[in-house]
Amino acid sequence: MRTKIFNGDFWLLALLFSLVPVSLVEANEWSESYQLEAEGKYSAAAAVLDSLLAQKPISEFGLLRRGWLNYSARNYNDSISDYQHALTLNPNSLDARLGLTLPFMAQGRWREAALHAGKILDIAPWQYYAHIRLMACEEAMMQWDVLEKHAKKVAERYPSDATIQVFLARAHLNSGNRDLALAAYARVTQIVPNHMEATQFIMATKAR
Amino acid sequence: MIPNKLLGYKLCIFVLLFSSSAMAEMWYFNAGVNVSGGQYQQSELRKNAFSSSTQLGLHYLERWGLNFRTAFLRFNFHDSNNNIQQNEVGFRLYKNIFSDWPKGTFTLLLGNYWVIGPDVDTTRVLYPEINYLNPTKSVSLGVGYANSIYSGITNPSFTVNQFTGTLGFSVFTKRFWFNLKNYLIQHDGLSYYTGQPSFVWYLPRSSRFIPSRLIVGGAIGKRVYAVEQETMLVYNTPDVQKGSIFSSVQWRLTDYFFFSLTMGAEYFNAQTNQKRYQYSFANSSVSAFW
Repeated sequence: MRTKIFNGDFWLLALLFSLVPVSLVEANEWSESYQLEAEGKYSAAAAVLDSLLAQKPISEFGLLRRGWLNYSARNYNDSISDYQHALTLNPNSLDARLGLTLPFMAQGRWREAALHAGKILDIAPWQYYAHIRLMACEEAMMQWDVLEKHAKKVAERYPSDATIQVFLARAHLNSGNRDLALAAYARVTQIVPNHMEATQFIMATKAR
Repeated sequence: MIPNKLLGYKLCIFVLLFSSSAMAEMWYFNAGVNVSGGQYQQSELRKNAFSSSTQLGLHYLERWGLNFRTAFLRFNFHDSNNNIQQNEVGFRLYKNIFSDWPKGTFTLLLGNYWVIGPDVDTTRVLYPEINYLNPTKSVSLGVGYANSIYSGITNPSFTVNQFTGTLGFSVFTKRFWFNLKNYLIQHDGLSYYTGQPSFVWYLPRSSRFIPSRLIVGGAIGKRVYAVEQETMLVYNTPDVQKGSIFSSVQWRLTDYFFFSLTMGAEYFNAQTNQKRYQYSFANSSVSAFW
């Protein structure tokens, strides 16, 4: 007697499974990816998206998301590759350029990060994150005069932002303008009263 | 009406300007001039020396770059008939590899240096080196090998093999950097070893007139026909160097403009009579990048 491998139940299940929309399978992969990210399993969260990104046409959002997850997993070269791929799909993407700045900065490639931040500002002149990241690059490259002018301009647009005031204070300090640095740090403490760097500088200045 | 030829020139200028501003974002350059002079003490032969050099660098983002150096050196002897003039030309190509495993930056360097002149052996040096810098930029390691071929006046020509190993690390929240470069040089069946420690202090820039960097360093041990990759210098004298000491001060006058002064002394044993002599030197350099 022959063994009956494919009985009626199997074919019924196969039929039902084939009727499950592809989008539902994808939705499960997206949600699994978000779940793994929430658990801090960034590499696994990125790997879940691999099968989705193997399909054509390639999902631009999938590349952006995997770029972010690879950056979070400290796989910087994979992150750069994903963001660059996303940028080739959509050369106008500010998301991809902003994303690219992160792994470049993490690798200490300040000029390359600054290049992409600058390209964002060409299109969107007061994009907050692009300015913040460009200022971080200028600080890392010790371009104090450049940073001083830059932070001053951005602070006019975002007067309630403590981070910009910190950049301004550091630039003043390294340009030899201690009084201006003190004033900038004082503004930081108005916004964030317990800001560690600002309070330490103010206390040290008073103690002199 | 603008003649077609003039229009063509204007178009060319426009294209050049446009391409240079686009390129300026990716390329950066450095240039420097160095002048050095020194006096020999206790040397029966040598009197003083003078050198001037120019350095140019071309860099593509942080990915790779090329440094070029040319120098003119003059060594004056007590007997002026023995005076030596020589030219040095060299370039150093580097490529940075940003690695995720192990995390950090690997720098591949290839130095190629020549010493030429009517009074000296023609020297050709090939110096590959690999350096590693960890992601927090607190530890560096490096190994290198220099092959120097001397020919022309000395017959037969000879080869010098140099092996280098470098260890560097930062201390006190990156305010200080300690570096130790070790040289093992093999020449004429003999081995020479030198340890070259240096200590860098990065000063907070509270004023443009306060130095941004102080360096003290020296060398302990013996070496001959050494090649320095960082400074692109070739020590082509046959006299054995037995230690050195130096201190250097650097000012960062603007974001892009530097000035430095260095003073030091190098100690040698003369090849001819094995007598010890000293070379005290000072040099100043200006450099800029943009």
